[in-house]
Amino acid sequence: MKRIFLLAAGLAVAFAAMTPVSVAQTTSSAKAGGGQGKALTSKTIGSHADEVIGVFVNDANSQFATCSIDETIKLWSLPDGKELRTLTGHIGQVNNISYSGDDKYLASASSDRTVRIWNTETGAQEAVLKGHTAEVIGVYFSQDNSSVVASTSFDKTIKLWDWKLGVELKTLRGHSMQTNNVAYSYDGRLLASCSDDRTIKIWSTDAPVREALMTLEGHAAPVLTVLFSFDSKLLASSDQDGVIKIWSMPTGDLIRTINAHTGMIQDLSFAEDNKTIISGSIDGTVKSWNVESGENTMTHAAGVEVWSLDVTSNGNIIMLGCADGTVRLLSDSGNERGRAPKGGK
Amino acid sequence: MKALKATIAVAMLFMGTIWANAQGTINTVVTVAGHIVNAASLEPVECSYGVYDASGRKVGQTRRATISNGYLVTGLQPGERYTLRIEDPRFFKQDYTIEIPKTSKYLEVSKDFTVRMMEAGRKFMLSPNPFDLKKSNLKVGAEELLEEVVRILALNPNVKVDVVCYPDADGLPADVTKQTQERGNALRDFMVKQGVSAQRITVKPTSTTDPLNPPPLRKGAKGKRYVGPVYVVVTQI
Repeated sequence: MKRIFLLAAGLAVAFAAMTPVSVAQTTSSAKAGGGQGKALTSKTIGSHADEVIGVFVNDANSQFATCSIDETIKLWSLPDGKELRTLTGHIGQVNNISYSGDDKYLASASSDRTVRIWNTETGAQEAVLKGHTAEVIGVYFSQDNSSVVASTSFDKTIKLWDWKLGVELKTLRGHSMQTNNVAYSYDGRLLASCSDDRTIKIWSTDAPVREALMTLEGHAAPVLTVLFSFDSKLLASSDQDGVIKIWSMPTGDLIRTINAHTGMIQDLSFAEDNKTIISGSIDGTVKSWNVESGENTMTHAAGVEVWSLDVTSNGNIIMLGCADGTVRLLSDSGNERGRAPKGGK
Repeated sequence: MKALKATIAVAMLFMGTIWANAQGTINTVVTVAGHIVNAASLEPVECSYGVYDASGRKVGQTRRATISNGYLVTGLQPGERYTLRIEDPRFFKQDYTIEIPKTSKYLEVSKDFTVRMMEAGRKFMLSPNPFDLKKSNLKVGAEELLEEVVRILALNPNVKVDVVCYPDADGLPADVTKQTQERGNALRDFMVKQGVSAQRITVKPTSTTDPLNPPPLRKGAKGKRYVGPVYVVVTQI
């Protein structure tokens, strides 16, 4: 689940509790909004053989997964950052991953045109879902503990699957170019998809409905990521020009545009306060934003293109997937208070 | 009184349905719908197709998918396996298996299929790439990908193809040509093992990177492991 607490908001850090398995550790300064300086510590815990293009933390904050162009998925423990397992089976780069709501399964989307379901405890491949007619780019598990998974593809569609039944339930059509990412709202009522056609479409999760409820226009470049806030009242989207837009849901009104980065924003996450988003970009920075004011509240120079990110729900650790293949943990070393209790849903 | 009669009728119908279900006299059916799309453009096409059950018996008549509404097959039985066969002279003959899940409830299933134009000179890129960076042997799992090519060649016995492999990077022409020749040979050998006549496959090595899909150069381009594209080019139909 993409849930973030803002580091700059002064939440506790668990880095002190981490087992020292890192291969590299650096400290770099970060600017926080309102003049609050923070020193963020970046720790490289391991690497893939190629760029890391997806990161996802499980709901229990005990594990996170990364996926890569090297065609593998890796599972890592939290908070110690130990590599647990490598999942192999895809025969193309793995573009995205998502944990099920109960953390028992992981869905992966690959350029081999499949969505695969993995058992996170055993590492076994539980299902191979074939049906997209081109590379699969995005995947998102329904968070209601059902066996429904949504996926997006170069074939311009969004497909909904019941992986336990092994079938495609529904194909959503309407985007005129490749669909890049997909996200469920946390109230389970809506699905958002974004595309190279520069639009976002909002869909009903009701089975018989196949037409988009609305199309959100405003981005001037391909839209790479969409994500709902935890109260389902906001939708954040990011694009290839480094722009973030915040939309009011379910009306679809554009609330704010943030010129956030100088390079494409491949990943974005909402904070549990529903007011803060964190973005990672190929411009080599990780930033946080107040969606109400548009203020940049934290900037961290990663020194490498950041393709993907996620964070533990209590905000202790941000996980970065980087262009050099490294997987890094980022923490607020200026505010360490030991391991904080888990954030609730 | 009228209301009571209606209630009794509904209750009897309900009981009857339960009894009929228990006796297996009401068959649950599954509907499959989707689009048939051109593999090159990924756009829907008009296309004739037939549906066959596991014994090879045709289910209904030859049907036609439309661009706007796609195709629709109703009345399929849970737990059964069907074959959707492309039966349109404009496209390669292709078979697709449709596995209907076991279910006791009416179910609608979505499925899209791809077709390829039956034309000499048509060029199809194998995606994902069946080779790893700097390797000339097929990567693990590539067999699954190549089975589709083998099935198409088996169903279209008059078709001849060239296998064209591009290198991962520019280099000495002799080295590059050797690598692309070896990759082509690996593909041809696999297909021959699967029953395709060697006479139908010609390996065409290349000495420069693919001009249509060159190695990525721009900042932000994904992938340090650019692997030279592989094409199957139709030379005779």
